[in-house]
Amino acid sequence: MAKGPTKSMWMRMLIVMLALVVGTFGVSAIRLGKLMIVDAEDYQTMAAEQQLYDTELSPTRGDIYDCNMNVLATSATVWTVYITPTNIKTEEQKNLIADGFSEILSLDREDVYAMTEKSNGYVIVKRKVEKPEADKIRAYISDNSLGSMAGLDESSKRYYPNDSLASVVLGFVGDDNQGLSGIESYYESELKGVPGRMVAAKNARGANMPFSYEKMVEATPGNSLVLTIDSYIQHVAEKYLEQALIDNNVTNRGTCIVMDVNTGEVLAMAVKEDFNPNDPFTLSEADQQKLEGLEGEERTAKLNELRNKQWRNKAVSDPYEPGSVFKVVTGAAAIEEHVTDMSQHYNCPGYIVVAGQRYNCHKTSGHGGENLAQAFQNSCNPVFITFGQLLGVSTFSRYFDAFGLTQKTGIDLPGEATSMYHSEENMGPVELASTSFGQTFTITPIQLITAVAAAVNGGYLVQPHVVSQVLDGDGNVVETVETVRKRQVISKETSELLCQLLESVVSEGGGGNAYVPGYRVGGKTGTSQKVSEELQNTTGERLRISSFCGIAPMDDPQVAVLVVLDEPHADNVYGGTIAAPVGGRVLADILPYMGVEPQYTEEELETMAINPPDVVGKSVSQAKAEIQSANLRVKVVGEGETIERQVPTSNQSIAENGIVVLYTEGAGESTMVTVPDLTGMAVAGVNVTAADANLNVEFAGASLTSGGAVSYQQSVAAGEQVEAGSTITVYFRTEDNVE
Amino acid sequence: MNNLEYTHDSLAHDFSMFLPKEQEPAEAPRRKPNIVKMPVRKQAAKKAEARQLAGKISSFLMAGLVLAMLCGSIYLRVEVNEVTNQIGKAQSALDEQKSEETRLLMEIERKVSYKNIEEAAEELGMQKKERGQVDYITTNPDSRGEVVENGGSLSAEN
Repeated sequence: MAKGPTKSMWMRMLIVMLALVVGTFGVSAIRLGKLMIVDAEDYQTMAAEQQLYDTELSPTRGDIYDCNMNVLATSATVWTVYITPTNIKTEEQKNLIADGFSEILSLDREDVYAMTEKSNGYVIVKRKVEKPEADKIRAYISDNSLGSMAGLDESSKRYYPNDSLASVVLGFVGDDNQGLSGIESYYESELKGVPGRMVAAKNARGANMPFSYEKMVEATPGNSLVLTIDSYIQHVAEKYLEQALIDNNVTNRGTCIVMDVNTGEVLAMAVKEDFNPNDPFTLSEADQQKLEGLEGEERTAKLNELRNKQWRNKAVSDPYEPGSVFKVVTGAAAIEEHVTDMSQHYNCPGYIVVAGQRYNCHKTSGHGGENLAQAFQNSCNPVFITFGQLLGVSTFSRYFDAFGLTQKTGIDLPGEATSMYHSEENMGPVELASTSFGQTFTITPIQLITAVAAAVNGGYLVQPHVVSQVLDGDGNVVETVETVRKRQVISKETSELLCQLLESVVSEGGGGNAYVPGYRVGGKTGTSQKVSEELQNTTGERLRISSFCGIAPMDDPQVAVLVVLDEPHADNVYGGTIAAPVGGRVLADILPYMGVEPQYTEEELETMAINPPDVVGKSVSQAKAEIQSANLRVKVVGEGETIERQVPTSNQSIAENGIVVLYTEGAGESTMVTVPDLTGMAVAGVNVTAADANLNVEFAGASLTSGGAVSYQQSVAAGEQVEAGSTITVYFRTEDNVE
Repeated sequence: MNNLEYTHDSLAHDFSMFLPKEQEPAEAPRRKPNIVKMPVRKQAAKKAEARQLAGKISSFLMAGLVLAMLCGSIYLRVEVNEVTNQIGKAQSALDEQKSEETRLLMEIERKVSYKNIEEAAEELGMQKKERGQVDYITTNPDSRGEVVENGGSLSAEN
C-alpha cells in the first residue's frame, strides 16, 4: 500500500483543479472580454456620464446703447423656481409649498397648490425671479427641508431701464432670450453670442473637479449695439406724440420720426400706442377693455390681434397715403425738370378736371392767382396736378423711383413694408393726377422722410439706419455703419430752392403752427383721405391721416421731423392744425439740445421773455422803480418797508409788461389765484385775461407769426390754484385748414 | 602498521622512512571549505545588530514616508476639491452679485429716466429754462493764454 497519494491521484487532482481554474477564470475572462471589448463603448459612455460634468455655458447677450452710450437694454441672471410634484408626498408638504411660494412670489395660493398635485417631475412655478425673491425661496426650501421637492434653475432676464422708450425700435426677447421683434430680432445673430462647453471630472457630490480633468470652451459673449437713437430726442418725440394722440382723439396710433437729413441716422422713432418691453404681453388698459365679454377662441384671437398691433412698428410696417407732404417730391421733380420756377404763375379756381375726373382743391372757392411759393404755402392741389401733367407719366415715374419710393429703404429693422403705387405701365392721366398730390398710393413713413431728406440735403438719397456701431464683449468696435448715399436725385440748386419754398410754408403758409422762435423752420403739411369705402367715421366722412414734415434749420438743414396721426377725431383734423404743432414743439426742444444756436429777429427779441430784476431786500419804493424800469408791472402785498420775496424770481422769465408780485415782511402766506381758462382766445385776449388774474403768460406756437392765431392749450389747467405772478405757458395755433 | 605509535623523538632517525610506504589515499572529492566562522567580536556584532536595526527603522520610515505621501496626496486632492468647491461657490456668488448690481443699476436708470425727471420737476414747481436765459458765446478755438511761471509776463497766442 502506498504511503501517500499516488501519481494518478495527483494527476486527477491536477486535472480537476485545472478544470476549476480554467472554468472559473475562463468565465471571468469571457465576461471581462465582453465588458471591455464588446460593450466597451457603452460603459465608457456611462462612466463618462457618471464621472464627467458636461454643461453648456450660456453666452451673455449683448447690450444695446443709445448714441450717447446710455443703456437701453441689458441682461442679468435671474432664476426659474420649479417644484418636483412626484417627490411631494404629503398634504403638509403641499400646503407648505403653496403657502410659502405663493407669498414670496406673489402668486395665487390655489394655483401653486394645483401645481403640487400634478404628476410631472418638473413644474415651473415662476420664471424670471430676481435675486431678493430667489434668496427667500432658497432660505424657505432650506428651512423647511424641501430640497428634493423644489429648487431654482439659473436663467437670464433682459432689462429695459427706460420702460417703453423706443419700445418698437428695441423690440423684446422671449423666455429663451431670443429676439422676437425690433432690433433684438433683426440683430439676433450679433446679440446672442456663441455658447461654450465645459467637460470636467466630478466628485461623488457631483461638484466638478477642474484640477483633475477639465476641458472648457469659453462662451463668446454677444456683441453690443450702439444705436443712432438719442434717448432725449426719443423722449421728446414720444412725449409730444402721446399728447397729440390724446388731444386729438387719434384712434389708429401715430408715429414721429426724427432723422439726420445728411447721414440718414434715425435720431428718434416714436410710435404710440406702444408697449413696455419689460412686460411685452401686457395690453394697455384701453385694449384690455376690448377683451371684455369675449371668451374662448374669440378672446384668444382678439388678444393676439391686439398684442401684434401694439408691437407693430408703424413707422416702417404701415404704408399710408401720404397726402400733401408728397408734394415735396412732385415739386422737386418739377423744378429739376424746369417745368416750373419762381417766375411761373398759376390760377386755382378750386378744382381741376383731368380726363373727365374732377379733383377739388381743399379750398373749394379756389386760391386764385398764385406763384410757385404760394402754391406750396397753400398746398394747392390743382397746381401740383398740373406739375404732374407737365412732367408726364414717364418722367414722374422716374422721379418716384429715384426718390426711393418704389422699393424698401433697407432700414435695419424687421417688418419693413413695401409701397403700393401705380407703375409706369398702369399709370394713366387720372392716376398721374391723384399721385401728384399724394393720394391713391401708399408708402411708409420711413420712405417719405427719407425722400424729403433727399429733397433738402442737396439732393442725395441716403440710407436710413438705426445702428451706428457694433461692439464686441470688451467694448472694441467691430463694425461702424458709415453714411451711404445711394444716389443724387436732384441738383443742389433745386434742393436750395426747395428749402426756400418749404421755409415759406411755415413762415407764411399753412405750416405756421410749426414756427419756432429763433429758428428757420421749413416743412409741408398733409391731410390725406383713407380711400377705402369702409373707412368712414360716424358722420359718413372718410377717415383721415394728418401729417407734417418739418425741417430745420433751413439755411443748413440738419434734421427732419415727420409726424403722422392716423384717424384723428377732432373738430379740425388738418395736418397744419394738429400735426404741425407737434413737429414745432419737437424741433423747439431738440434744436437747442443739438447745439443749433437760435438767431432771433428784432420782432422776436422784442417779444422774448425777460428776467425781472432781483429786488429782495430792497425798499418798496426802490423795488417798484427797478421793476417798472424793466417794462414790467408790479403788485405789492403787505404793509412792510422791505421786500422779503418776489414772484416770479429773477431766475424766471416773463413777457414784457408782465406782472411781478412783491411780498413785504408781515405779508403772510402767498397770495393764491385761480388759473382762468386761457384757451380759445387770440393773443390780446389771453394777455388781458392773465393780467386780470395777476398771472404772467409765455406765448408758444404760432402766436408771433400769424394773425388769427388762437390759443388751444395751457400749461396749467384752468381752475387750479397757483401763486400770484406765476407764469402760464399758452400755446397758439392757426386753423387755416390747409391740407 | 598505521597503528604503531612512535614516540621516538629523535629527529636523526626518521624511522618513517623505513616504514612501508602507505598508499596515498585517493584524492577526496573537492568540497567546499568548511569554514566555520569564528564568532564575531562583540563590537562587530553590535554594529551588525545596529545596522540591522537601522535597516528596519529605515524600512519603517520609508514605509511611513510612502504612506504619508500617499495620505498627503489624498489629503491634498481632497483639499483641492474643497477649495474648488469654494471657488465655484464664490464664483456663483460673484455672478449673482454682478447680476444684482445690473438689476439695481437698471432700477436707478428707471428712476432717473427723462419721463420721471420731468414729472418730479413739475411736482416741485420747476420750470425749463427760458429762451432769454441762454446766452451763446462764440470763442476763437485758436486763442489760448499761457501763464509763464517764473515771474515772467503773460503770453498769448492767436
